[in-house]
Amino acid sequence: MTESWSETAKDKLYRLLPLLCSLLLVFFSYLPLSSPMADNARPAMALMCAYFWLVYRPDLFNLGVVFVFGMIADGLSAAPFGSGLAALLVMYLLTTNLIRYLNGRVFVVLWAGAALLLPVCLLAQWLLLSFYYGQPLPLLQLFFSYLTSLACYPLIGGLNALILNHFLQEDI
Amino acid sequence: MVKRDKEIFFRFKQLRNVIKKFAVALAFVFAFVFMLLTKSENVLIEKTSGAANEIVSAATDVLVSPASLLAEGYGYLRSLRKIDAENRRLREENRRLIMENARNRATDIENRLLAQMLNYAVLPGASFVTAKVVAEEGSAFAHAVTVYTAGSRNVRKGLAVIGSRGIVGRVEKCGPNYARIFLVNDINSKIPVMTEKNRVRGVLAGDNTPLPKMIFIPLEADVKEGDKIVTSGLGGVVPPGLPVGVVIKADKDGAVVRPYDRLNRLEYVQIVDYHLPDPTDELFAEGEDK
Repeated sequence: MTESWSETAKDKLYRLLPLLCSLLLVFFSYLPLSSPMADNARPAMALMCAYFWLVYRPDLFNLGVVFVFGMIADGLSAAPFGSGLAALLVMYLLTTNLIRYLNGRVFVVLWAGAALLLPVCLLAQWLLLSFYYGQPLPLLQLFFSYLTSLACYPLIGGLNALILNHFLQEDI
Repeated sequence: MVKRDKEIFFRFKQLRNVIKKFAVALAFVFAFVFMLLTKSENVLIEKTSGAANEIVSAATDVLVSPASLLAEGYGYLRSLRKIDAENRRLREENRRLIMENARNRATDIENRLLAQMLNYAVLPGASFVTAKVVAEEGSAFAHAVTVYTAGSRNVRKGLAVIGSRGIVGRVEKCGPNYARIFLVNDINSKIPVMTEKNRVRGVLAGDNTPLPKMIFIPLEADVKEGDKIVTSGLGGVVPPGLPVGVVIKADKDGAVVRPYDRLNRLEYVQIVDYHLPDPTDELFAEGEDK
């Protein structure tokens, strides 16, 4: 009885790992780095994590998880609540529709996928917030944020892949 | 029977797909509703998001502190290289500041005597809270920092925040232990300012670019590169004369201002309450009396 309970708890925890790992990385993205680069072009950590898990474990990173993840990430951000969630939902829509081209491919293809999907999500958020504020937000910083996101993707993907390979390889 | 079961299963699958699609649309609707509610500054939303901010700030503080220590350690090791030159520079600065301090004290006494002679209404004394920056955010969407206020009750929304050299932002949200500050270059930041020399008034507005802009400057005003910008005191939250920055570029649309403090290197800030009466409160009170 005890064993089955612990098994269930373990199973539930494992199912939450993609969300917890993504949240941890999002928390770390707020680290004060005292650099002009970090202050103006932080990588879009939430979008990168969502992309990774939506490609590898869409069963564990489903719409409900994306919604909760988006809400917590928006709670952390100073940007209007809901804007980050909308960008994550765009990522969810795109990735779930393009998953057959991405799943099981080599890393370079996934990186190229991130290079294609990230700007769409970032631009969607940019458009939404430009309407919200009634004035266009700076595109140059958005572009730099995109570039740093792309540069950081191998690292972020690698960290998430560690969790995936260590804990989520078995069919949970 | 089997055929019917299959049909039911197929219908159920179709329905599930429709619900799935509907769920995504619903999630988008929720996201837009959240944004609209944030814009309306609803009290309930403000309180809920304040409480959420408190929880996530505490989590960030705890999670980020080991990485923060590593970053600080690395910074310390790097600073050791320059310690001798830094020491010499500080000695020289200290000598200069001692002389300046003596001059300022004399000016202060003179100022107080003149104020007494003119019966000038002196501004009430300020109280402040020094807070450590625990998280920062900088992107095309927001420029803000989260600070640890250690349960201080003197922190509230709208208060001015100053760094080591000048004003850096205003409190946007505050909870029992943490406060979120919109920096002067955030799109939500609007601070009434003026040029120190010519007393040309304007508003320092952020647009999420690295440097804020002074806007609403009169067309005939002579604002040029190198002009120092200070707070004008309009609005009643920030007193006049606080240093803000220096104009680095001026054109007909406004003037780009470089803040004295480096916004990306804030470690500690002071949240200052000048105990200035809210002018809108007084206007309302007058209206009610009438």
